Amino acid sequence: MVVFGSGGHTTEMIQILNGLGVDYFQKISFIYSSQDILSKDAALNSFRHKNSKFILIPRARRVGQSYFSSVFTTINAFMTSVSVLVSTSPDIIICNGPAICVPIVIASYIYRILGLEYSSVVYIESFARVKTLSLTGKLLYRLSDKFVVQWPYFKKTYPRSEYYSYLV
Amino acid sequence: MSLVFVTVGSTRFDSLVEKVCSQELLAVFEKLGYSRLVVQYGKSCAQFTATNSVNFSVSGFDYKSSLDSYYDSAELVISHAGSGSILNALRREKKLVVVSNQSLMDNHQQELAQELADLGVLVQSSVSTLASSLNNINSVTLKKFPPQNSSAVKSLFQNIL
Repeated sequence: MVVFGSGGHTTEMIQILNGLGVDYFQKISFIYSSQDILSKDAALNSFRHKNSKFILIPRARRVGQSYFSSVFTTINAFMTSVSVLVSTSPDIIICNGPAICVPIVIASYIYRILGLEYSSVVYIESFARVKTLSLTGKLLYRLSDKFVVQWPYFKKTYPRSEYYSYLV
Repeated sequence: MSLVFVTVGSTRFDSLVEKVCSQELLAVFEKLGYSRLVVQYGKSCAQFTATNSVNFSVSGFDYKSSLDSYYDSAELVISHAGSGSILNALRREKKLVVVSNQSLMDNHQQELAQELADLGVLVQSSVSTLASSLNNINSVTLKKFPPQNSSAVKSLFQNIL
């Protein structure tokens, strides 16, 4: 399962998947947010995978949305994430920073604690993050099985982080 | 038909769009030998002005599903500091000038532009100094951006499945 974000996150994810070879995975589900049709188009333009599908998840909070109404939209996003996890049961979840990673990874963590399903979470922090982690990165640092950064400056502050030269 | 491509990414960058459409900058582009400017202006539509003279044309759009053809055909890319735009230009080995958006609250984007400018693979500029950065662009030798390490990508995913 690959979680797309907007703009740069999607560009990076496409580069990483291309570097890996798109046929590395037998089956891919691409998750994208309801305000981000551009990611779906970008992915479709960049590669074709014989066994892939696109799944839409509503955004937890739009930029500028009020905190009161975002409580409900967050619950909605979380519930959708849970049902998407149940229906796709991925072996691996790959995410690289957009906020929609958070409900998906938390849902998978709860599943794991309950012993229902085990998905490995690979978090790849954005190439844009040179010296400070994103909020998503900080939140998911302990919940990821593999926490990858793209610049070598994080080893001291985040000892679990792994650096592998240029991934994008 | 030498092309300058300007991109502001998925949000807006009013001052950059306004600047690249100004007479001052158009004169600089023309002097450098460019004949065409395409601006992906995002939400900064009000700041965009299309012009069409004998020697120079300016066109623009808010978003497109793929910007590949613009990156491919551009000789010079002027971009906001977003990682997507930076990668799209550098991976095609285009001459790249990055303008950081100072009005963004979380200014981590500047870190990336600074780091890559230190590596010598792009030119870092600001809206107010863009004209002089462009005037100097031909005297700057940019380094090649290191290629993607696809064996590193593969080793990252080993032992996971």
